[in-house]
Amino acid sequence: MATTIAVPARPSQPSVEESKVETRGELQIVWQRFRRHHFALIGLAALLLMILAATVAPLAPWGPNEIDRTITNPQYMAHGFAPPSPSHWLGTDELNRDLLSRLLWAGRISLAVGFLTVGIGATIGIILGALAGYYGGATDTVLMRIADLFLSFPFLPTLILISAMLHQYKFNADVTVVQVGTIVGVLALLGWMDTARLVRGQFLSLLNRDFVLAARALGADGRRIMIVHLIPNSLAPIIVAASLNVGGFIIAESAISFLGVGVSPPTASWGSMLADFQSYLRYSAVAVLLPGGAIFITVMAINFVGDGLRDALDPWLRNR
Amino acid sequence: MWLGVRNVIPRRRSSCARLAVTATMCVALFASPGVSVGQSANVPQEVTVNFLTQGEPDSLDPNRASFGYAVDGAVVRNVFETLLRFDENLVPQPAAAESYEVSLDGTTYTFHLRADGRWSDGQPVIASDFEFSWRRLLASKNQYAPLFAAAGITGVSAPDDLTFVVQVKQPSGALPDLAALWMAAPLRPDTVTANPDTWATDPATYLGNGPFMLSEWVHGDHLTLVPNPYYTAHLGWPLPTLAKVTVLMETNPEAAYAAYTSASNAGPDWILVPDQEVNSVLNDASLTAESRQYNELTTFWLAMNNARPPLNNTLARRAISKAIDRAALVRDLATGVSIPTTSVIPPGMPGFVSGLGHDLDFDPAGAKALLSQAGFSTASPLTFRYTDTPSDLRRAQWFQDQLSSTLGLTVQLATSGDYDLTFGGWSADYPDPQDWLGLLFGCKAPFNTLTFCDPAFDQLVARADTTSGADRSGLYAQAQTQLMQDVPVAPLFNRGRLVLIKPWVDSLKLSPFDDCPGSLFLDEVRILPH
Repeated sequence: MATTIAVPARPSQPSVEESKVETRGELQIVWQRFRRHHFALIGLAALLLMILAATVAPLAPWGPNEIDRTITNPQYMAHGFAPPSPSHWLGTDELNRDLLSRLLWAGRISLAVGFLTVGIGATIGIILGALAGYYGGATDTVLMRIADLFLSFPFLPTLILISAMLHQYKFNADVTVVQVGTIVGVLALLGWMDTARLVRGQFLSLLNRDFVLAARALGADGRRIMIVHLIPNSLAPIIVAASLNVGGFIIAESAISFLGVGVSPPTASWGSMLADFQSYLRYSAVAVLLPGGAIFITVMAINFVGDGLRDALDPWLRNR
Repeated sequence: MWLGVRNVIPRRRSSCARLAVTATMCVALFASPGVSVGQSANVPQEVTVNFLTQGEPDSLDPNRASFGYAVDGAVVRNVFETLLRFDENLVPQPAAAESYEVSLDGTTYTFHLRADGRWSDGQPVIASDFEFSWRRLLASKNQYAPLFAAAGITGVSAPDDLTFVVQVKQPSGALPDLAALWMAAPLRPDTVTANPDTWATDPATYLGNGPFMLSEWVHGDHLTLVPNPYYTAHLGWPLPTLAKVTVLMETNPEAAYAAYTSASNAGPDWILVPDQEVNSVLNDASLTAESRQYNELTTFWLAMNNARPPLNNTLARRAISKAIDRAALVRDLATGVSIPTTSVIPPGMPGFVSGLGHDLDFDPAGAKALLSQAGFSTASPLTFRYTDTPSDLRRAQWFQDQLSSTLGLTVQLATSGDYDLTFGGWSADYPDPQDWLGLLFGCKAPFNTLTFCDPAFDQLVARADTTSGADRSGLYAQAQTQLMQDVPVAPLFNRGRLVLIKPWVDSLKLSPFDDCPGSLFLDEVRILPH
């Protein structure tokens, strides 16, 4: 005889095929946290707009140094600054060159300096900080004392001094490229130290973690551990610091161009335009606000983005 | 050269005629209050002028003149009277000296002083006053001393009270011009040696023999000139009509302009219009009616480095000169009151040759042809030196753009160091070609900064410098033609100036050689009723 045993129904559980666990990559997490920061989004939009404007500069109706010789009103010929018109959307500068085109071309230089400097400076800083943090000992001491040496130079006076010295030399290549390269080089040389210290600090705290020991046990050499394991895990504070530094370097470039030891005329950068227009306040009170406003918007946007990134990367910053 | 004597004795009206005139004046005064027949009679002959545009004078001592404070000459020239004085054509005429002779070999100049010259304290003007001053000038390290030395002055002497003798190494056609400069004014040995440092700063000791004298000096604010009571009309030079001249020291040209155009009439009675305001004056009908234009004895040019490639080639320099659109330059940079030119010597002075250098004028196609003929490679950049001021920077960028658009040249700007091109110019120290040609472009000239050297030109100039008389101008014209063929500089424009004059200022003569507008003939100015 067969007996039927009543088996109580199991509570319903989704089967493996039906389960949809929401997985998110790290990048997605960062982006979602960033999105919650409204100012950061505005800043990102403004920054992308600036970068786009600088990129399309070659498409501008006027060349960067092109004097408009069709302006015949004697009042605008003696000192420029014709008011906005259909052919000059923002008017002209003191030599009757289109202001909008010049602003766009100047933006290329200012933004290029900002981003390139951070890129190069961060690279130098990461390399030196990694070496100091991983190998420790004498390497650490030497590298950190070098960093201290560079930190002890007052930033702006040193910057002005070196730029002025380099200004004396004449080069046969494209002057603008040479000068921008010089500025980037000098700024990067004076700006790598913070990144190096950050990276070193991160390394020191990460070196005792399990995954490093595991990698060592598996036979990874120093270089592999640094490049594959340690640096990627140290990126969070570097990204935040770097994004904030872009603004600082744009302002530094504006400062030295304002003082006349940055780009040479007729090439314009936002800082040199600011310097020129302050002598012509009598003829146009508004002109000086344009490059100044461009610098302001760009740097504010970068600061907002930096803030947003810091909040978005917060768990990685705090979670040592 | 004027070697004769001019004596004009003012006619005196008879007493009857004088009574009639006075009666008519009285009738006219009471009959029609708005109109006055004897115009100077009831209008205070006082003017306010802003001559000292560089502020408190560096020094009003004639022997201590400096290039930077040339405006001080406007005051000195009216307080002192030199041996000779420039007339309207800038030819030196007898003034303190009633005549002069040149020896046959041209090395001795003998000036005969007039007997009625008086200092403002009544003392007669004697030859040793000139001797003292000229010795002092030649011995000083003053900036103008090289000019006098270049004329070859070897010695001065005063054989008697009314004779002053100047010895020169070789014949010098420019000596009369030098004798008319305000640095060559006579000085009182007793006052100057008694107060060596302060005689020129205190009206009590600042004695002069000119039409005016200093009555008051409020340091840093203004000074006041009144007629010299002991000055007499002579040789065609009149007694000053003005009874008081207030000389302001406003350094800001915009402030002077604002004071002139303000509704109250307390500001200057005539001013030099600052460059930035020229267009607003020309656009305003009432201001244009009050304005007058004149060109200074100043030429601006594009100076080129003649010593190093690529501009050591004459064809290349000529190409650059032909690449500049002078009309556009004047319009864009010099506010339209200046006059384009292609020759070094400016119009209005002896030695100017009209039409000289016309082959250096704007011609883009010709410029390109010359450039390729010279074998010039447009790849290597030229350096343009400028001084670090906004207007200079603007001008430098203009040239940069002009040369790149006409000739495709790359021009880099620099504020120091070696240069290929720079903006320069020269202003006449005295209205004679010797001041322009030999001193600037001679191989060993003191003011030659261009490293230009042409022996053929030097020879022509040397001959012209040592000739006096009618041949001089022909020789100088030859020298200038040679110079324009060598093109050491590309002449651009002669500076023009705009002067605004109140309608009640009469008989104001403007001269290209004025230190400040109207300073050369201040003693002829009159004020009309207003």
